[in-house]
Order: sequence, then C-alpha cells, then structure tokens
Amino acid sequence: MEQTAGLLKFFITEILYGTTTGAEGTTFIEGDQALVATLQSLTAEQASTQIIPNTNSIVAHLIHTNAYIQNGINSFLDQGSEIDWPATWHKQSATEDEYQSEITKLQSLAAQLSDLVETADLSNIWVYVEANANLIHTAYHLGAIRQLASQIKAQASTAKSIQA
Amino acid sequence: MIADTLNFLFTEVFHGKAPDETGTYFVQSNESLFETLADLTAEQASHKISPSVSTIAAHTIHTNYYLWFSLEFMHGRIPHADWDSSWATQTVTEEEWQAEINKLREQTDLFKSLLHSKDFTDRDNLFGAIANIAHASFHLGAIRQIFLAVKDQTN
Repeated sequence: MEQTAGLLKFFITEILYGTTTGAEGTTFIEGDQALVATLQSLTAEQASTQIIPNTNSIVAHLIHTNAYIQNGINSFLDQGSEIDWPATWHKQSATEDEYQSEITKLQSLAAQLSDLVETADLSNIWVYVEANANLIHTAYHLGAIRQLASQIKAQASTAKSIQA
Repeated sequence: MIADTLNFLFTEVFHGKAPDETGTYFVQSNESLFETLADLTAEQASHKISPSVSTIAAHTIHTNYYLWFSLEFMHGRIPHADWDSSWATQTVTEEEWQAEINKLREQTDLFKSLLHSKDFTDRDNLFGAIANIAHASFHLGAIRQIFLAVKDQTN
C-alpha cells in the first residue's frame, strides 16, 4: 500500500500544481493549467461571476471542493459527521480577501490530505475509496473550473475589444 | 479490493450511481458522462460556446483517445501518442456522434473488464488505472459546464 499512497500523493500534487518539477511528462494537467494556478489567474470578481445563468461560480466550486476535502480528512481522523452538501454551494461570491483565503485553505487541506494518505490504513476499503474519491472529485472540479475560467476570460477579452 | 474500488469510481464517472447504491461519491443523478452525452444532439455537441473553448464532441473524442491509449498499454503494447490530433475534430454529424458514444461504451466496457485481470502491485498498472479515472472525471467536469452553456445558448 506504500506504492498506492505514493501514487495518490502524486496525483493530488499534479491536480493542484501540475507536473512535479523534474518529471518527464504529465498525466493530464499541462503546465499552468493546474488548480492553484488557474484560481490565482482570476480576480475574486471574476471567480464570483455566474457566467452561465443559474449555475455555480468558480468561488462556489472552490468552497465546495474545500468542504469535500475537509470531509475526507475528518473521515481519516474518525471525526466524520453528517455534511449538509447543498449548503456547501450557497456562497457564490467572495471578496478578494475571502477568495485568497479559500485558495490558501485548499492548499493547506490538500497538504493535510496527502500526509494522511501516507499514514492511513489503505487496506481498509472505505479508507481506500475515500482517498481515491477525493482525488477524482478534485479532478472533476478542476475540469469544471478550467472551463468556467476559459469562458470568463473570453468574455472579458470580448468586452475589452468592444471598448477599444 | 483495488480493482473493485477503481471499477466503482470509474462506473460512477461514466454511468452514475448504480441502482442499488444509496449515495454517490460525486456524480449526481443524470449527470454522469453517458447520461450527459445522450442528452445532446450532434449539433449541440458541436456547438462552440465561445471561440476559444473546445466543443463537447472534441472533449468526447479526446477522452476516447486517452482510453484507447491506456487500453493499448493494458494489452502490453506501446502506442504512439499524437495528443494534438485528438483535439482536431470539433464538429460531428449525427452518425459520427452516435459512433463516438458507442466507441466510448465499448472502450469503457473493455477497460472495466481488464481492471479485474490486472496486477495492481505493478506500479504502472495502478498508475494507468487511476490516471484514466481522474482524466475522465476532469473531462466530465468540463463537459458538464459546456453542456449547461450549450443548453442555455441553444434553447
């Protein structure tokens, strides 16, 4: 299971930060397309934009992802409790301070999760599922966030050309 | 245990929650990849929501390519990768669209059957399997957002 823990850590790092320094290739996240770089390339205002009416902003995806990882950490520590998942989607906008704080929280939670994966009993199927689910869930939201970021930037660029 | 877990999560990405499951790890009802793709015409799947964004058809073709690439490895072959070409086609006819979905079904079925025959003490096997599920999940996340925009723009 040591190998499994190492691979899970590798993928968590790739999703958050892209290919590890010195690595030859990438599994699927190219250079600056990783989660932290994508979030840092946006202002809080952009991340709070509901680019498609009645859908979630990047801020909401980020807060929800943080809640999911926190829940995974709590499970590993046997501190699991009932989560109100719809509530993790309530907040759709953030100030610059709140947004930066959520990004920092994401990095801190992912680091905690990586450390716990190393010491967790991965021979327990529920622990193993939880670790993999966290990884795959974060990959899902990276895909969603990248897509929303592309649309927000395209819209901003169109607005600029119209103004020019 | 590893094969069962990976199979379970892989199935959730592509097919959603199994009928006998009470909960879901992250894919909500009707939001799995096959359910999403089945809800689109070829025209909608080929619709560019903005000039710089790939279509759902392109994401689907690329996901199929990634699966093919992994299956080659799982069969012990070393494929030549041409990732750029996997994004070249952005639009499809209705016939091509259905063929692409069918191909995805065939490849996911094959992937699931091979999962149970693989030795996951071999690092490369485990790496390839997790990478495939994470990759498919990444594209499901992207496709779901494009799907919402397509529905908003075309309805």
